[in-house]
Amino acid sequence: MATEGKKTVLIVEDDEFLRSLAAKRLEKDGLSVKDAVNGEAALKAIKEESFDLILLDLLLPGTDGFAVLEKAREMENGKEVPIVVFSNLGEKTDIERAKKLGANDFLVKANFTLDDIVDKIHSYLK
Amino acid sequence: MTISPELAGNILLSLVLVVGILIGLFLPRLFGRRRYRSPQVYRPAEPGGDDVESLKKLNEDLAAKTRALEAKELELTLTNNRLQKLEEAKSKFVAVTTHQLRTPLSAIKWTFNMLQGGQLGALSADEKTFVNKGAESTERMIKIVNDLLKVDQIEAERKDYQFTSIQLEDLVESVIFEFENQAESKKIEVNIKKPAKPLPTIEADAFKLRMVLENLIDNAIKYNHYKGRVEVILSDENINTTKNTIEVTIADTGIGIPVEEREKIFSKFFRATNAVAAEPDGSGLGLYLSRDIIEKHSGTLWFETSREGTRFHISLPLHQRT
Repeated sequence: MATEGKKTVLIVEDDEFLRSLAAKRLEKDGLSVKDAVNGEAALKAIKEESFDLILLDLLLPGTDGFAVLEKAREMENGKEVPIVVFSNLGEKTDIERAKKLGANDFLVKANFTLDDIVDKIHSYLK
Repeated sequence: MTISPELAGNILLSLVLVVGILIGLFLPRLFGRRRYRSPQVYRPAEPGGDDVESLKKLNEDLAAKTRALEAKELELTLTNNRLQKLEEAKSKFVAVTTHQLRTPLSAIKWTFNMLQGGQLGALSADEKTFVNKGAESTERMIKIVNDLLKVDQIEAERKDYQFTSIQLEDLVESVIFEFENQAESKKIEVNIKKPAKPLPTIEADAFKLRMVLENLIDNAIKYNHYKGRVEVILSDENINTTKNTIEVTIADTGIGIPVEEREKIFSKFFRATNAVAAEPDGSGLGLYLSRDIIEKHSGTLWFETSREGTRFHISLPLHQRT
């Protein structure tokens, strides 16, 4: 399927190295990447711009990922966008809570390669 | 009857003692003092007092004993609370450290992943070998961290078992299906022996029972010879009508478990020497968890082993919780 321009993914991740790795990998795959280092920055970005997908970490300083999920789903640009949580939390209760708040998917970072994550992203961008 | 001066002395001593104890005991009570007191030393009634006095004395001794017991009870309650807090702290410690380990591990994993994929530039054959080794070690570490979390979660969720009606042969078949590729890579034949008509259902936690079957079948493949066999036996003969149990047997054609290690295989973190040789990335938790889960189903897990292979048996009650 032909795409009109590049798809844009917002990466919300506080760890700088993980963020740059993920961004680099996504860009190699032809995606355009914006990033946010914390919950506040993420909400500001979602308010100002519409994304094709959001990759969201949960443990963030200040406004955490759960709060971002909740608030984003109430925003114009955040209502429909696929949000894939990638976190190092992974207990049943965390997964259930994130899904209840509107996460489309939940990936435990250490258990997935970036290739897996890119595949997952493409499955939502079709 | 004459009273010897020695006896009289004894009586006097008893009396003084009793009066002393009475004052000691009742004075604080009269003033509504604290209920718990430090344990008192128990002294048996001394012979020679008259009946009323020795009864009083006996009574007081009993009261002292009761108080000592009450104090002990309080002490035990406090110890118990402290242990519970310690257990919670341990659990929290494991959860926090493992989560924190996952972030650097993800960074290492993803870096290797990018290197392997050539996204950080082409690698020489030599570099590729080293990168692959690094990636493997990282996976091993991640697996251990995940297993630690799993044990912790299972230990925390001990009460959280969800029992539903389960058709064992369906569960076994779907687990075997998962292992097709792994078995194929060692040319191992995995068979299920099951009766023509459906077996009676059992009450079990499907998720946890699945973990046990996965673990046992995984071991049976892993520690088997190339072109070996694994058989899961689930037949009518496996129903014990007197004990009202059903048995699942997982038999392999591996080299068996060495005599000196047979007693330890269900211990936490234990790894058999041939297991370490065959598969360095194990955590030594599989059988420990498996036995724990089976016991939570009021069942038993045991094995028979020889140099021709090992047979693990799971016995489960047919009508659980009735």
